[in-house]
Amino acid sequence: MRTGIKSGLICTVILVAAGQVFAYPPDNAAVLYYKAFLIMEEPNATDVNLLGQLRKGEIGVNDRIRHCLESNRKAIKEIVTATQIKNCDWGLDISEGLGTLLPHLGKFRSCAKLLGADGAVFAEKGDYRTALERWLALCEMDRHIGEDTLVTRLIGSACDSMAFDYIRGVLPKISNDCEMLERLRVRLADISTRSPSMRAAIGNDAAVWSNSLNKEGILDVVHNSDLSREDQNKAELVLRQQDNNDFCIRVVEYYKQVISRMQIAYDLPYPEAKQKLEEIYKEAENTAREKPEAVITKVLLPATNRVLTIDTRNKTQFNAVLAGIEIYIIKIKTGKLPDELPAGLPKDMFSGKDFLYAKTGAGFTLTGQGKDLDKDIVQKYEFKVTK
Amino acid sequence: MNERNEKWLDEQLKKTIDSGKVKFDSEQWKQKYSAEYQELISRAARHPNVQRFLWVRPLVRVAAVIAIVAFVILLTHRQSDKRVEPTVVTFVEDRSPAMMMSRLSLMLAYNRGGLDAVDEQSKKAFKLLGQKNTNVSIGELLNDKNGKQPGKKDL
Repeated sequence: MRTGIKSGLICTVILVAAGQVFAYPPDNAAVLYYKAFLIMEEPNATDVNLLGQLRKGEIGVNDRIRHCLESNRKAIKEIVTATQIKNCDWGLDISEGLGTLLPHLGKFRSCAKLLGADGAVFAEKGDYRTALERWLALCEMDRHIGEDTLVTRLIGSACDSMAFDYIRGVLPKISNDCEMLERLRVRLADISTRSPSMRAAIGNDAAVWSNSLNKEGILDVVHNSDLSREDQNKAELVLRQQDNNDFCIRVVEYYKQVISRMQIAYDLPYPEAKQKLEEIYKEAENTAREKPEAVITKVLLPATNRVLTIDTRNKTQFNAVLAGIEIYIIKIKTGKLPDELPAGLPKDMFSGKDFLYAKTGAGFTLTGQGKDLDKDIVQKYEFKVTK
Repeated sequence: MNERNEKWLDEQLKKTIDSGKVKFDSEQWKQKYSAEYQELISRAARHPNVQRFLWVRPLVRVAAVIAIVAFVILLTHRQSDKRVEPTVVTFVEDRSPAMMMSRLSLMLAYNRGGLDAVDEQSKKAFKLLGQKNTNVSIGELLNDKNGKQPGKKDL
């Protein structure tokens, strides 16, 4: 009897352990991403160009795109599985500071482009459900890439933007399918609650830079910068002449002062933030002419100005898609497009105000009320309605 | 052979082989072929010497000088451009491929040219690393381990 119980227990333990050992997929999405990177046939420049045109709706899926996707079928499968896993640990050694290696970023971008195009192939076949799953998977990729550094955050943000471009393109095709629209609305709402923050990424970079700006760190910055060899040599000479400790302290103090002002400016409404950031940049540039310690800050300052616009543009695009979905749902429920913009819809983030709504012959448009100052245009989103 | 015979032979050979320098008697020729001579004269009058005609014109001379000077300037300018080029090469190019993918390096790449610059730097690094895309099945790996030729399905 006892032997039977013992054997039973041992068998149970073995089975449970085996289940853990051979469990698939693993509980870390990064493992599958890295696997995909290894088997991926990276799209060449022509393919990348075609994928870009496909995303903007300038071309449809052609043989070359199909071939590119087919040769990456296994890699795409791995990426899709990875996006369904909650945790993603890239194995980055953040303690290395400035030298932390981020070798996954380039490949990650290529994977995102393939995934987006794969969704377009499904959409062309009329399988909108799978197409949307692919594009929502792009948003999951954004969550997986994280906010450890500003560069990773920007790459994640580009994934989101790609997803919204594709989703907006397919909305007219599903504009009569209330159930699909409602499901999409729920999924997008869920994704928005898990959005990594650009501001947090700026803060993370700032913390790492501040801790890494010892003499070696500063030299690293100089050598990685866009300065010519001659200027690099000059900077190196200045560094050697300065009292190391004192100079490094001054570099860090000035950097911290500028970056904290930038973070405060980042939280202002878009036009004010943009103006303030511009002022801070100019000031840092002028100071760099007089004080050697300010040169390092000038080199290291993130392109916060550009980042702010990208961030605002993405949020506006996301809000436009959400607002568009709401209007489509109203149309299905009432049988016609609303005459005015319904209350409580997501806003244009450039102005902080509601979108301007207009019915057109083909459907409707949502137009922002504030200018995208980098492109010097007001963003306008068209939504067609299938008769 | 006696001396007289030798002299005779020499003269015969001279007549046959070395006929000496041929002298052209133009006056005699003009008289003999007067019709052909007149024809040549009239042809020359119809087609004046173009080269001479062009070179004599001052404007043509000036244009030729300008063209030569422009060509020389262009040549020297191009060579001086080439000499300047190496000074704008940045240090980033010389870094190890792994360090080209560091946090700092990628952020500065972004500051230089946005995400396209990050893509470019990443591609360059992988190219230097020589990483090739692989799509190897377990079967192929086992074949390789067993010392079999790739592509043979002998497991």
